[in-house]
Amino acid sequence: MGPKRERHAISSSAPPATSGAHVPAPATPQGWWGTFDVARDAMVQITAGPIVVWVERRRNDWRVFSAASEGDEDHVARPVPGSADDLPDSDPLVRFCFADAPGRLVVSVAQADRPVVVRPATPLSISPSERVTLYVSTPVWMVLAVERAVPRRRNGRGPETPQDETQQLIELPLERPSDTWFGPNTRMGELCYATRTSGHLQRDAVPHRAHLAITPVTIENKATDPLQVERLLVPIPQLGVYVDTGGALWTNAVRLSRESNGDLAAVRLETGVPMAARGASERLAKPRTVAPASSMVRAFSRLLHIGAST
Amino acid sequence: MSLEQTFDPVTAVALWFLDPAHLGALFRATLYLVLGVVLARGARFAVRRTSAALSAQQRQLLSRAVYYGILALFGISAMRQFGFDFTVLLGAAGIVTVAIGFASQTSAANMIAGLFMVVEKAVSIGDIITVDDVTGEVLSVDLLSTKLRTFDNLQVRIPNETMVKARITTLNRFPLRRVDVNVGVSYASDLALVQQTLQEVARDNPLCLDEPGPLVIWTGFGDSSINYLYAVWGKSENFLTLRNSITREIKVAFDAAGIEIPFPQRTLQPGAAPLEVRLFQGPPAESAPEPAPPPDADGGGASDEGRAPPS
Repeated sequence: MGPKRERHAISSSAPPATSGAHVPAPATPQGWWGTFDVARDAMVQITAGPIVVWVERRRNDWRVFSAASEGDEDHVARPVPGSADDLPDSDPLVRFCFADAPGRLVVSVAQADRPVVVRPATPLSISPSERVTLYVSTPVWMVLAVERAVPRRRNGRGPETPQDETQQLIELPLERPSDTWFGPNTRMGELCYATRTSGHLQRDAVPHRAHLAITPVTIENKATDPLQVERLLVPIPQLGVYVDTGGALWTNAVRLSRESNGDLAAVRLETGVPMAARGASERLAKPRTVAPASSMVRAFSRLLHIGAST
Repeated sequence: MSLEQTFDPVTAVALWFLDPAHLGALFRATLYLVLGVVLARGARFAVRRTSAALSAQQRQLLSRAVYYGILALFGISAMRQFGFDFTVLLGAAGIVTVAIGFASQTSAANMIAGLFMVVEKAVSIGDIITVDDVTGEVLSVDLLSTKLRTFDNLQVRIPNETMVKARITTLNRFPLRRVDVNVGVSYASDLALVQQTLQEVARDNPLCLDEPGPLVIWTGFGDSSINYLYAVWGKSENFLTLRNSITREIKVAFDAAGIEIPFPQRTLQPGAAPLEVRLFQGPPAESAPEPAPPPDADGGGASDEGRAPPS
């Protein structure tokens, strides 16, 4: 099921080049994503956590501006029609050129494009035969796209008819996490994003932020020795993103089962709506990648001390 | 005028080719050569398309071997149409080998060194390497030489014999690189604050890896500063960006934290007697005592020079 999109009409503050009356944009009930019909020379301003993005439609191009948000990072932003006066003084981040810029803007959510290594603020110890669920928050990406009609032949035959096609413009991290390396040494491993977690064990204790998705990570320690969790690899690109009725973003749950002493764990990715999400949830983004066939991965880095090497 | 009187080499060759038997040989030889070129090109194209599993260097080597091998075979066949007997060459091969060996010692050494480099896979096309004082991207590893493109866009040809003997540093072999920055702080600095500030600089730079973490290592008490080695890790592709950004951020963070990066300083000791220093503001008063006027003093103007009392 694809994401259900709120559709808004945005007209320019100046006299629009295209016909159509000014229609105030209704507030998005849940978040900063949605579909917007934008008149020529109008724009959409999206405040999402720590970032503000302006997307302006001109005759032949779409322009994207961004700046740090000055307000409270935690609030869920709403797209509003803007005018050129609201734009930042800086040059556009990027311009996307068209013969005739299409008028429908699609703003959507995506998960991080690399796995995320989560470091608890305080190292955690999980006793043998214990199972706990950690709620970790990771930044999400904003995806900007336009819908346009492209002439195509059905099944490669017959006359060309215009068909709607979504053309992605750009992906923006709402909060750029720091890079990190997850592997046994500096020659072998994987480039990931790093983030820290307070290690919340209760669902209600997790703060709800517009730019962070919550991943329930259930860790089961079946080994005979305690598991010291200093860093934890969460395969975010393999998870879908959901929104609950309260507007909080969630990903699929992850279950890590440590069968024997060591860093390896059997990983199981839950499908469907996360159980912890409140009420009926809606999927906003499909997983970027398919989980590999082998489910035994190095998920913990208790033995990883490559930082000490000089 | 007789035919012998008008003889010249061009006419002789033309007459030779006009002979019907030789015309047939010429036709067959041309056919062999054209066929050889077409087949060699086709085989080279096929090798390039089907050897995706090989490295760029191996693919280049294999395609060249196939191309020139096929050309040589068809070339020999074409020559045989004109009656060339290559068994004579085989008989003289021993003598020729000795002669060539003496004449091309350097080339042979480079050739053998090139083979060793290919087998050892010392460098590959696309590697960024430093050989002696030259740093650049490897363009090709040929039979006799390795060609580099330096970062100021020059091509450098290094004989393979030199490559085998030289110390080669490959800069992009591993995915991570460490940026080392030597940092000196004044002796008045709070060293705990220095370490904390450097850790925060690394934490706030997204290109700086969280793990392996940043290193702050004391390297010595310098003449003017306490010296640290500050080492942060980043992706190899981000090496220059990280090096430039991290040094700028260190300066900004030190300024914000009130940590001084000192200039070289010298403390002068006058010996056993204390150094007497006098400061004057404005023109010296007439009544100002002059305990020890210097021999070359001009007697006017402000002076901040200290003078040791006469012993």
